Amino acid sequence: MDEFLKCDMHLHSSSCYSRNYDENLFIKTMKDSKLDVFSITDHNVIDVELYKKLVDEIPEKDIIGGVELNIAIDEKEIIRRNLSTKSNYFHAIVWFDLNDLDVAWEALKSLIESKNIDIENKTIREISKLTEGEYFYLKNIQKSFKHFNYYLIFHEGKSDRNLSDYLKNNIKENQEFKHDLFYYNNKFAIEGGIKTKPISQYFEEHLNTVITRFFFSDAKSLAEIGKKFTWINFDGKFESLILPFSDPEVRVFTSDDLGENNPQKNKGKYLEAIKIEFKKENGESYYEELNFSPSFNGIIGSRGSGKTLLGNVLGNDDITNYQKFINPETIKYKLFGEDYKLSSPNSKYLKQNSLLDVFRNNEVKDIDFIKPLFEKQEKEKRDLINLFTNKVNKLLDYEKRLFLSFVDQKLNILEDISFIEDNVNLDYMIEKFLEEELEDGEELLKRIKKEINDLKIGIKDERDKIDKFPKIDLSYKELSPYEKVIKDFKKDYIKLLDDKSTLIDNVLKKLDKIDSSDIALRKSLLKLLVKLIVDINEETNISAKAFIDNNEKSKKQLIELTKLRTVFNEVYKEIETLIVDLKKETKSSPEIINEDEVIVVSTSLESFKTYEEHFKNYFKGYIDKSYEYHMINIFFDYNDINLLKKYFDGNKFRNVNTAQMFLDNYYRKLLDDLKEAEEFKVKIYHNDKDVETYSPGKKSEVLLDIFLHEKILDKDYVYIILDQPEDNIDTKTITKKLISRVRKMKREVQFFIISHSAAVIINGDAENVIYAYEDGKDIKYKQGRIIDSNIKQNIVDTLDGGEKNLKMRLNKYDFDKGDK
Amino acid sequence: MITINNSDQVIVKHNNKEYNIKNKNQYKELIIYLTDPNEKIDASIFDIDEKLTDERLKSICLKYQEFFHSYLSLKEQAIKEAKESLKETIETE
Repeated sequence: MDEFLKCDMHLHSSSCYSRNYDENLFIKTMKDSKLDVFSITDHNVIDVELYKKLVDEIPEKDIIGGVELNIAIDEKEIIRRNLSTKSNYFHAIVWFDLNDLDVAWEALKSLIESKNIDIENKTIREISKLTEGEYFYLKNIQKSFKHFNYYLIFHEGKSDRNLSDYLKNNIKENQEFKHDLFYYNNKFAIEGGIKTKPISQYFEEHLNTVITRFFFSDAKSLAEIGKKFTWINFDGKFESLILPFSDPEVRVFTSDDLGENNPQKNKGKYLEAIKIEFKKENGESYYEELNFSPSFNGIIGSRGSGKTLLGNVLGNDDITNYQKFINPETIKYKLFGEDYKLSSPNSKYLKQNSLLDVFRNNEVKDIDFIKPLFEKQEKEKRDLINLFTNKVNKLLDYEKRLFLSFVDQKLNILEDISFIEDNVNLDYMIEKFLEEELEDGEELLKRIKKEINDLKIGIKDERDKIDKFPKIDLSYKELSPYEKVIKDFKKDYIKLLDDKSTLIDNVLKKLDKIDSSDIALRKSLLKLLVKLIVDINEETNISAKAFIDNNEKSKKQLIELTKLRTVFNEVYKEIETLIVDLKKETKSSPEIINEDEVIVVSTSLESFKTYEEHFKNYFKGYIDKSYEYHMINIFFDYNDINLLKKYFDGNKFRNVNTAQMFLDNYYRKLLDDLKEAEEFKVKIYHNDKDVETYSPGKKSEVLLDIFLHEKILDKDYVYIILDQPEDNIDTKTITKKLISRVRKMKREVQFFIISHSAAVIINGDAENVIYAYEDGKDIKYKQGRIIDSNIKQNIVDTLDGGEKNLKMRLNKYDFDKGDK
Repeated sequence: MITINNSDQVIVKHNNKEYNIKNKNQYKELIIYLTDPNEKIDASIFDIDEKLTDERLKSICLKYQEFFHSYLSLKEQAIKEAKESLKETIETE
């Protein structure tokens, strides 16, 4: 399985004239180093014997054959292409398969001999020395090396002998030559780390080709070996170098950029393997055990081959539906560094077509990006609902209590006002007055004394404040003048307060001494007077009294009816307003995605009915917007059950026989209805537009952006499963959004992507491809990399655009690059 | 307008409708109209029919007019009190 390996593939050995290493010490250094892969790149020589020793003594490390050559462009080509060169030659390292050691050395020897260098009976180190200052034409190297596969990595951004020193970049003809050099050869790269980024960027943006940048130690001493290195995502084998060469953006990271940290950040936490028990028709079972990359695992296969089954097993979702094929009870998951367990790890599963379904199922709020935004709003909304329920409860309770209290007072039976026509002489009546309207002297004096006493409490408070003044420390001499002034002030002020206190005590004593018997006398006389007036009025004219009482009673009835109807009206308006507020959208603060796109999440109770829609559900013969009219009629007919029934929907009030039951049921049911403000509608606004109004394609695009927002990384998922995320998305969006997002995130979280799109699998750079297939009636899986021959064929056979994408990828050219 | 019909009964005429005070249903209708908190009722609806010449009948109409005028003068205050009382209950309970 491919993984990021620590590679130092430009270092010199004890066989190179440029270094003075002891061979044994060199071998020990290589063995002890923390490198996973290395290559010996001595100047112009290949020490075959040394390589063999290294292979024998360090079998745990991968070794790739190599050499560093002095290279020049031949004069004929320089003239033909009108090139401007400076210095004689530049440096490049060459990598080849260790199996080609002998072939490569033979080819190189012939090149050396072509320079009239006598290598007979010379040690490798001596030969190396003899080549110092000599150089080979690129065309001759290509001609000599044509019998084996090799990579050529030019010096760039190093101290000397850079390609750009030899062929200056700012000259048009030189640039054109380099373009041809790299564009038509997918096995050339540069070595120079991030310093050379402007060069690779130039190639990507202007010359439509990808150049891989490496960074190695080129160590001058043994201690320096492995200090500068490149993290390369491959299996350490020469033939797999095509993968990082064809997609360096995600496969190659240099230590001058990333340091010692493994680019695969979830190395310690990912699903390493899974074991599934499959059932055969004959009752027997077989196991499928799959190993996974911590990065991107692509799941491919024909329709119905078991891809989604694997997705569901990984996501621990709807496994019971597959009981015919697998035994859900025995599925085992193995996390990195742990044993197999029955429990599935924490994961996020985006099922097929579920992006569009999230709206239909109101599941938008469950997307990790949306969740915290929604939860904040949900809390605010829930508080609002509680407030609403509380208020509605009070309003309806008040309305009901008033209704029933007025019924008790018989205000629903209209008074006959024909008494008005009676001939009553009111002239003899003495006007009544109320005892409470007259001044009560005793109460008045009590209030005054209390006020005076309060003044005394105030004085005590002031005195306490004076006592609590901060003390001045006289050891600070400069404070002593202040101390005297403050001391005098405190003394004078306390005297003032004592005088006030004495004054208050005196006045209270004086007040107590005054004879209050006249006050009590007046009170008893007034009481007597009120009684006398009532008695006289009664005795004088009983009919007049009856007239006045009737008049007051009838008028009171009208006043109370007005009040009751006002309450009906106000409760109605108040609840309608509360519902309007409740239904209002609550919007989150804007969140930026993709640098310049704004996402806002809103929550509302859009589907919550109006108050009128709620209560009219229980009424019969209700005319729109006439709540208080309907209610006042109920009020007037309350005492006649037959009349009362005509106002209520009988289906909702079965077995209701009394007026009180009608009223109780009505208010209880209504309140229960109003409490059901639960289902929130969540909307997503993308650049101020409601995403729901977008076409399915655009909607999927935005939702994918949101789903795969980096916030998902905060959620501690071991892995993310996407089932055919490319559905409903156009090709451009697959590349621009889905693939680029997966490429960016797969170094931080493990991905399982079920897909029919070659672009997703190949350009997304799946490190591990799982092919699901039917073997007779059995579901089987096999796995490998996109360069493995059996998987390559499955990609071609199964994926849309499989062959085209594979060829483009392995030939390195990314046609999307440089479009701008 | 308050007037007396041929049967010497008091009638309130308003908006092409006649409310006989002594008729229970018509009186109820009149009260429903008068006590509607959404209706701003002008006291002139209880003006006495100028065509009435009989002083006794006029005096009866006058008594009704006084009764209804008295109610109308208190109606706004009643509405205000009901609103305040409701508000107080909601805020304090």
